[in-house]
Amino acid sequence: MISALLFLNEKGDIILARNYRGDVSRAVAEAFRTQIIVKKDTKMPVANFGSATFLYIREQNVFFAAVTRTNVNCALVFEALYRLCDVFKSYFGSLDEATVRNNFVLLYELLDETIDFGYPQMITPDVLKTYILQGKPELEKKRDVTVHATGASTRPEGILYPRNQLFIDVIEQVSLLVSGKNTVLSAEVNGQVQLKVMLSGDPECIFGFNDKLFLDNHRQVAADAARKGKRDTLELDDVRFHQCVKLGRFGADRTIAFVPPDGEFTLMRYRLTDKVVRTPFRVVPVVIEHTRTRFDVRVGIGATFPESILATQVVVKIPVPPNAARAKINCIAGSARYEPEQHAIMWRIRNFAGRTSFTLTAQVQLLATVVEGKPWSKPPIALQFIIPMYTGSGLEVLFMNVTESKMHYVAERFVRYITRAATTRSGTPTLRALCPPLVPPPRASSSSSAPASPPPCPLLLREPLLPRAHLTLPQPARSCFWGPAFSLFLSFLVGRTPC
Amino acid sequence: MASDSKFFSTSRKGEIREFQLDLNSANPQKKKDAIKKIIAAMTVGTDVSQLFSDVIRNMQTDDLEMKKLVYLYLINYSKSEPDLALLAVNTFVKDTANLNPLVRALALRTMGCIRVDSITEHLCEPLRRGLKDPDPYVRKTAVLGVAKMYDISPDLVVDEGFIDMLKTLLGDANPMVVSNSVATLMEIQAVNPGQEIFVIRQEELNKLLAALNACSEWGQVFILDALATYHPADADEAERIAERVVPRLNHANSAVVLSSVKLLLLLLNYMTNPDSVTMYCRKMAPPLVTQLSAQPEIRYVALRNINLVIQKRPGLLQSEIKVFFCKYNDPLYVKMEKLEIMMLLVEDPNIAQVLAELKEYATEVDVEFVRKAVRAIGRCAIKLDNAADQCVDALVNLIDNSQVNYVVQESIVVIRDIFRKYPHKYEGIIVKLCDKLESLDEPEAKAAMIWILGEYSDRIENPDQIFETYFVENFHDETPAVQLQILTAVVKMFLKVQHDTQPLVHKVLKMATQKSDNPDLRDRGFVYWRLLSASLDTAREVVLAPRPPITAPTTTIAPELLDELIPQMATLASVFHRPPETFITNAKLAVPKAQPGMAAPQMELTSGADEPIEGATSGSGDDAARREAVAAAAQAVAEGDLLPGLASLAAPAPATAAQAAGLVMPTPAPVAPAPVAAPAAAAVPVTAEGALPERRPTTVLLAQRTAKGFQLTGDFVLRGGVLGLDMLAENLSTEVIPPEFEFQFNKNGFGVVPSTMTLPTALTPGKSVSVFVRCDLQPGHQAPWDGADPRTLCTVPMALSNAFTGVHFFNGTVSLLCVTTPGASIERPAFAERFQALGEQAEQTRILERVYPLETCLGLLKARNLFEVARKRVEDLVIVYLYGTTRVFESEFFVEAAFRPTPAGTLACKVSVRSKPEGIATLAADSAAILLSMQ
Repeated sequence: MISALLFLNEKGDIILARNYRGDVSRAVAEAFRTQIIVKKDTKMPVANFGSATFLYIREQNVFFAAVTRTNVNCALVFEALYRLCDVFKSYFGSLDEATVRNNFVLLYELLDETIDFGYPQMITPDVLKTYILQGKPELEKKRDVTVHATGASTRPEGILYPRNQLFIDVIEQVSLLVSGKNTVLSAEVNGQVQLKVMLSGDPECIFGFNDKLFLDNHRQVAADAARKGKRDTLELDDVRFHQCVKLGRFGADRTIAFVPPDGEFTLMRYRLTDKVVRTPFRVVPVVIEHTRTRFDVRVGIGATFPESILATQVVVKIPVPPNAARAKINCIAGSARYEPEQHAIMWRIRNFAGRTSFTLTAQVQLLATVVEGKPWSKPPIALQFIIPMYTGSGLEVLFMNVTESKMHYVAERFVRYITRAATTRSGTPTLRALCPPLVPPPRASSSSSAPASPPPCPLLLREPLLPRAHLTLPQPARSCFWGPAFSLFLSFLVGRTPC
Repeated sequence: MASDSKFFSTSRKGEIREFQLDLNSANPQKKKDAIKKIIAAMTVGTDVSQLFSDVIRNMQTDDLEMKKLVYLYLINYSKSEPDLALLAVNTFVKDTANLNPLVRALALRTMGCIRVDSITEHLCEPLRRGLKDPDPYVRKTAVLGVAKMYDISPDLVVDEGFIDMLKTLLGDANPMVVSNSVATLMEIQAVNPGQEIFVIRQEELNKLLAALNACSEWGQVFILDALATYHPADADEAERIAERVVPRLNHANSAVVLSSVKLLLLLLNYMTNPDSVTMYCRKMAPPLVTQLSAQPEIRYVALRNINLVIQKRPGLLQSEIKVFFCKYNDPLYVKMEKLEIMMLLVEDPNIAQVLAELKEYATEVDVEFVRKAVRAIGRCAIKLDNAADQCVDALVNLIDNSQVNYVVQESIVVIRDIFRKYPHKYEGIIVKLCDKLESLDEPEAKAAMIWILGEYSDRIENPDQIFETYFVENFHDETPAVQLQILTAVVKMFLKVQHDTQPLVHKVLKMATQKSDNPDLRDRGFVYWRLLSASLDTAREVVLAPRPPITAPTTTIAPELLDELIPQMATLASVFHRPPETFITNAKLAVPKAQPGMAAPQMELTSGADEPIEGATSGSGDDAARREAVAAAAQAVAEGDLLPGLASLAAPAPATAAQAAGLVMPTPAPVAPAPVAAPAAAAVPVTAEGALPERRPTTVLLAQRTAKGFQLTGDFVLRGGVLGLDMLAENLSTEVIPPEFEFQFNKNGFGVVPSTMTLPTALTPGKSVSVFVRCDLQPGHQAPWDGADPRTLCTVPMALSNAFTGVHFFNGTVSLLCVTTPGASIERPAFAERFQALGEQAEQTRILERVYPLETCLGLLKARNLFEVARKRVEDLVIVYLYGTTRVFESEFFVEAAFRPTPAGTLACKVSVRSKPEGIATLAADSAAILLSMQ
């Protein structure tokens, strides 16, 4: 099991360490520095030196590493590391070198409580907050704290809310890859259902959505749904549930039953690939190359969702080579400008009605350079947007039944599809976290979409680039000139509606 | 709460004194601040242990935060102040009886962390109370307290009966108490592999399955991992367990999912109904795929495990290849892993898609990834005959269009492999390759190109000119691998197209034999020279002998290793794809495993592969046999290269094979695999005969930490009757390590003396090479033995010195079975008589739970000079009697090995050894146990 947990800064100095088993010394930090931080290669997250093994993750400017000398369960360790980060963030707001130093007393306390002799115990912020109290220690005994802390019950006793409310948030993230001919090359929806539970007592909940396998088992429910006009069903590739869901029951007849913990949590995560993912936008790029240093771009973008829906905050990122000097842009809707630091033309459209389309044209001037360099990584066109009342997967919440055996209240339930920009773990919004395109040859695609235009890319590809420019690029990408393919992220926002 | 960072503020002189004053002040806030400052100092690594007694004085307080801080201090410094730590015992014991369960648990937890014997003694009573505490929180803490105590003083735990108490707690009402008990018991079992401390039986199984649903996610993992050690009685029971485990696959925690998959895979082995097997396989696929959207580190762990799963159950993810396509934002290590899995899954129906992806990857920017992608194209071509055309097209395209030199070079290396697999099919592209001659600068690509040129010299107009201009001119500047390749290629060319090329051959042979100081090159040059001057026909037969076909391995892990790794899924072993003992040196585990017998079986195989080659050299008529031997050797090298551990060597497979093939001469010159082939051939299990199991050297003799990144792993082996140290030298530093070593042994029990140790070449960073150091036994080098602990007899103190590493001292262990006398034999009656005479008091017995098949075991023992006296069969029990003598002391030992099949279909064995002196019996039994056990 875990021998020690270390917080190290970017220089490899220990900011804080907790040794659980006494079989490693502080000196292991030296190995971490020389073998992991200094080395510039693959950066494997699991590394073995001698008989000590490091498993680490990175959180802003902090390396959070577990050291072990046994054949530890890696999945367990990484899950625990990430979960600990969540705990720290929920206590401190964020996790970086400064917060570690600022809260070292509390951190020691949390590390002591969450992991014992290297074995993870209870790493759930809500539970921990009932007995690890920031700054105001209480010796007075709380009756059920310990039962709670051993995971025997997910709810503390005696919860009472004047209004019993339950909020259901559905957040979907769709990545989509479309070729120049508008055929879907790959599509994936990663969604989650988040609950905010404000219910008294010990409620038992049953959650239902238009899951095909569930409705096949429950004809009555299916008939009810059909009467309300909800006929579409969907078959998810995979579902994962929160600890509280009774997995045995789900395995038996696909009923999602649970006793929710108090507060906010993610009830389920699901995944859907390929089959029925709906494409909200159609993008048609055309590139016309005039000389080695000048080319024209025309990007057409059309919404395929119904008129009643309004997409907001649409951002189209059209990458250009890093040696682009300036771009003369013309667009009918939204605002667009060339942003050299992004190496892209950023086109922002605040409101995008369904079934409309807009076009942007740009003349791009390139600097003539002679310095040999690596070829341009050619990222795909990226879109970010928010679409309310629209789901890529077609998931609909059908019901959420709440039963409380003692108080017999009727809970108010709300469904909303909330907006969250796709973010990396470090909290920066990603425009770039995109699926790579599959069929890239720019020649073929542009000739299919605009037969008149000359093949756009070969010269561009050979364009020598300044090597320095590449250092500023993020992790370089798949090779695809942005002509033929694009990737999308979409999230949904639906106004709160009673369920 | 105000920022704590102020406590780190400054470190100045007199600070300690100041802390002391504050700690002893009457103001509680001042005290608390002082102790925070002390903890801050501790955190940054300042030694504040001299404040021990002052801190301890503040232990008795009602302020929980203060108490926790003092406890934290105690955990860190008790070890350095064991006497003073005793002062804390009273307060600890008092706290374990506190009214507040949180305080009781805290005291128990902290006491366990203080690794001072005197404190541990006082822990027994509180721990016993804790295990029976009414509060589950205290119980679950006490359970781990037992684990802590076992770590410090195992005997105490056993004597106090804590293990039985833990077993009782498996039925506790609180799931966390149950799961912690399981974890503790498993840990105790793990450090005592020979004993049955905690074995899950029906009763425990039911308790654990009952607790599984209610447990915390971490607890579920502990329980699932424990259940993986259970052997179901029959198919029904296996299905019953599987049914209970399947719902876990929908858990949000990846660790739970992976452990469930592991357990299900193991249960599948017991199932007999093909429908249920298919059903469970189908259920496992989606959750595994879902792991690919987890955080990158978990994704990586999952991918490494998926790699194992699909080698074990190839059909499982066959249709899912698309999910393994690399994404734009995958970290490099994830991409590399996905590529591996794509190679395992690629089949005719999806090759077009995969190839399109690979072509994409080849235009990316990460050098390592691009190279791997190019290599993958080659692997596709070799794996799928129908796709070879497409793959070759893709490679030619890369060579034509890529402006990146390493892509071109890597492609050439790959094409060489394709030429090996499909001779004379793609000759047309040689012209294109020749266009790139000038840009080649990597030795590997050069060697590949030269091999191609040599092989097809009769299809090229002016091979001699090409060789002359591009390669021969700078012959002396090339690396040894390239030089060898030039030599062979030029000779091949001469044998294929004779006219005009003689001067060139002469020149090269001369350079190789007269001006080179590389012994391998010189030797090979001489061999060729002699061969050519003797008879051209013979030379042709030898040098141009048809090469064995190469095949792409469908799996990258040996089946035995795979069977060993599946039960280890989700652990480090599964991520490294290596058995745990290769990266763990747990002092408690190491006792039986550190002995070197482990590597021994390997050498029989190597010698087995070598022998026919040498045998065939004498009779030139026996052509077929020789070719076969060459094929076997070459095949072995080629296959070995593709093993994961040596992935970096993957490409030179045909080169080394070709060298091995090209080297077989009808002269008894140094025929053993060529130096470049040596690392692969020696370090990798040779599968030529396939009968005997093989292991690599496992004992780390010199760890890289101590020797600036030079690592030496090695075991004593008996190779073809020759005692030697089989070692793998690895360079994990950033500098080149010179090949000359001073290597000496101190006087030791058996009088083992080494010959010289020289690496074939200097070790460049990241490379490894196998060395075999022949050893002798010299009576004069024997250290006197006091007869006390026989294991001291086996220890060999070694010293090694090198210009780079400096001088290092370390210990190796020689296995008794390596120092046996060859040809020992005895008559049956004599054996029986002496065996009886020795009696049971001179007997040492080892129970081995899982050994190799009977014939393999006997083969292994025979190779250790043990003489089989008799064999008898009683029902399903096979008893074999063996006899051996040691070279030193000349003591006889008598072995009785009883093999019995287990219900699980494996073979168990009881080895009893009798000898006088008894120490020899102990050693022989130990070393036989290691030799025969299948881990």
